[in-house]
Amino acid sequence: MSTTLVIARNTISEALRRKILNAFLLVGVAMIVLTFAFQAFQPRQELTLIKGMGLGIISLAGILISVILSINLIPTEIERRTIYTILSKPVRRYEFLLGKWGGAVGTVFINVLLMTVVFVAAVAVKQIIGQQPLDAFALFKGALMTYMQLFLLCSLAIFLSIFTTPLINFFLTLSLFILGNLSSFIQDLAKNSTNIVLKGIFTAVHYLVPNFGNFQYSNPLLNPGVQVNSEALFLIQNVVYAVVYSAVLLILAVLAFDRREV
Amino acid sequence: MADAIVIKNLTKQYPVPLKREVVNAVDNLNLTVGEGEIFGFLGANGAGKTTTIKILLGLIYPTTGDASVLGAPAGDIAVKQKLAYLPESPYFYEHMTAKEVITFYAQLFGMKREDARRKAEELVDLVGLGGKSDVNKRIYEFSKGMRQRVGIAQSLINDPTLLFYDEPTSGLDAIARRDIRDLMLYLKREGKTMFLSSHQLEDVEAVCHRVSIIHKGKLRVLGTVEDLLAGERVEIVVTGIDKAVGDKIKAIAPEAVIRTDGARAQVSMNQSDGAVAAVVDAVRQAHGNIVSIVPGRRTLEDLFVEVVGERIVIGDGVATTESVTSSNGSLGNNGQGGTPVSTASAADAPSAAATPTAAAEDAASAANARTKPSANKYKELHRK
Repeated sequence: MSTTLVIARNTISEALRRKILNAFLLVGVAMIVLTFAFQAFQPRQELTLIKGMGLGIISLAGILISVILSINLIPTEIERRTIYTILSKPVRRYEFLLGKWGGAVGTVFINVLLMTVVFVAAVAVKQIIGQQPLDAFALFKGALMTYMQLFLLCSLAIFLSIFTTPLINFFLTLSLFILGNLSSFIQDLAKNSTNIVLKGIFTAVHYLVPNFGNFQYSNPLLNPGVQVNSEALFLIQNVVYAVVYSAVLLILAVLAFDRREV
Repeated sequence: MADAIVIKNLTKQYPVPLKREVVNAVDNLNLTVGEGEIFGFLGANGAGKTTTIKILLGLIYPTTGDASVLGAPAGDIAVKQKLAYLPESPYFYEHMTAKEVITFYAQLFGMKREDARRKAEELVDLVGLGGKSDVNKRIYEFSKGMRQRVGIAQSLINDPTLLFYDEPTSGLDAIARRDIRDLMLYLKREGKTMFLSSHQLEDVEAVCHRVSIIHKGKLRVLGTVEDLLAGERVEIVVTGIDKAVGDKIKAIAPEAVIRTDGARAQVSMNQSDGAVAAVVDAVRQAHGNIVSIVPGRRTLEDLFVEVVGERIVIGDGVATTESVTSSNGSLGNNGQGGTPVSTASAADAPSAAATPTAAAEDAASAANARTKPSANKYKELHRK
């Protein structure tokens, strides 16, 4: 097994034992299960609410897990000096960094998958009980988009963790996540701005900050009336976007980490 | 003998926060360590020892100068296959058992999982953590000594050619310390090269061929243990002499101190071949007996304190430090940096150190026969 995979597997194994991450996962799963308690609405409204809340809970728990995990991975290795015994072995720095990143996105994948399985099962049970058409599996597409968003978020947090402390990184990553979700809005601001300086700033922010808003896929899932022109293209585009953007961030992180003193 | 480590004009500077100044953690260091040599790298806390080791391992980069390890630039990946590093107070992944930790590190050397597990089992057993009570314990349940044993085990995974041990016996009890010293002696007999940083000066004295002392980043002392610890005085114990012989001895060596205890007399005098021989002749001519002639030998601790010692002086409510280093700089180049007291080359080391350290080694080996099985186990392990 390659060194990167060994480090990634070890990172996942360590992360899955972290109490705070497990707490987010458990709360997420519990909240999804609790949506069963919604009885006060019409069956269709109830399902829409459950789907909306479920996707929201997966996204929120996923964001917290991704950020808290990713901002700490490399600084903790340096602070606890576990990195010394690793980098003194025949391990290249980029293998270490990619292993850590692989561990982060792997852990987030496991968490999102667990929550999604519970969520899809909850919706499927509701649909079977309510004798409604079974479309719960379509929710996996929404979960995939959520995961790709978190995949990109992990890459961003790990990239920033090379330069910043975990505390600064926490706020910086969350700020960029919020900005990235407002990317279309910022683009509009850039178009409509008459001030050349502001226009430049908005344009730079729009193009530099990852567009986290791209991954929103709840509308077609919640409202069957909403149609996406080419769903496959939409999904593929977003996956490619997340992968390419992450690759750029990781290349920059590798270059910076290569000269970093540990 | 080839050089395992070559350090040339190595300097490492760190900026002082909020000031336009830099501090030299390592200052123009020049060293060579020969293959098969156990090299003691001593210094007070903050002297630059760990910084030097980190540079040699490629964990940090020098500001100026060069360092090569086993013929390749420091940090070379291929060379790391042959290296081992035991950091000071090693930390490991807390949720893992000792076996899992070693398996993980073994896989970093490219071992397959099953081979890595087998190796881990053997090493965990070797360092005494294979017992039923320890085997399922997680690292967070381990004492400092047990963690250190895990550190030792991970340093032996690849049957290394060159070992960097940074404070291997720090914070350990006497038994654990002795076990680790025995292991180091065993590695020495096996012809391994070791770069050993330690505050346990007795261990360094017993194990190392050569030692160096750095202070504030500068090399202050370098030489074989034998040369550095050789004293300037000699103690001669005699019996059957009278006051007249005593007067004769005083005439030969005016600086001699003579203490009598009944029929025995102990003469402490400066070591010079002519004077010692003259005293021996004087005793024999008076039909006295020479019981022993023992060359005075200072300890490494004496030397260390002389080189780096600073004591706190409290006066008028203000604490200051003053050096206890001899004012004539007899230990070398105090305050000047660069020129070491002894320039014995790495190639000389094993032969130069043979007399005192071999004796110490033999004594330690004999005294510590209890731990020999673990050393033999190590040998068997790597034969496999």
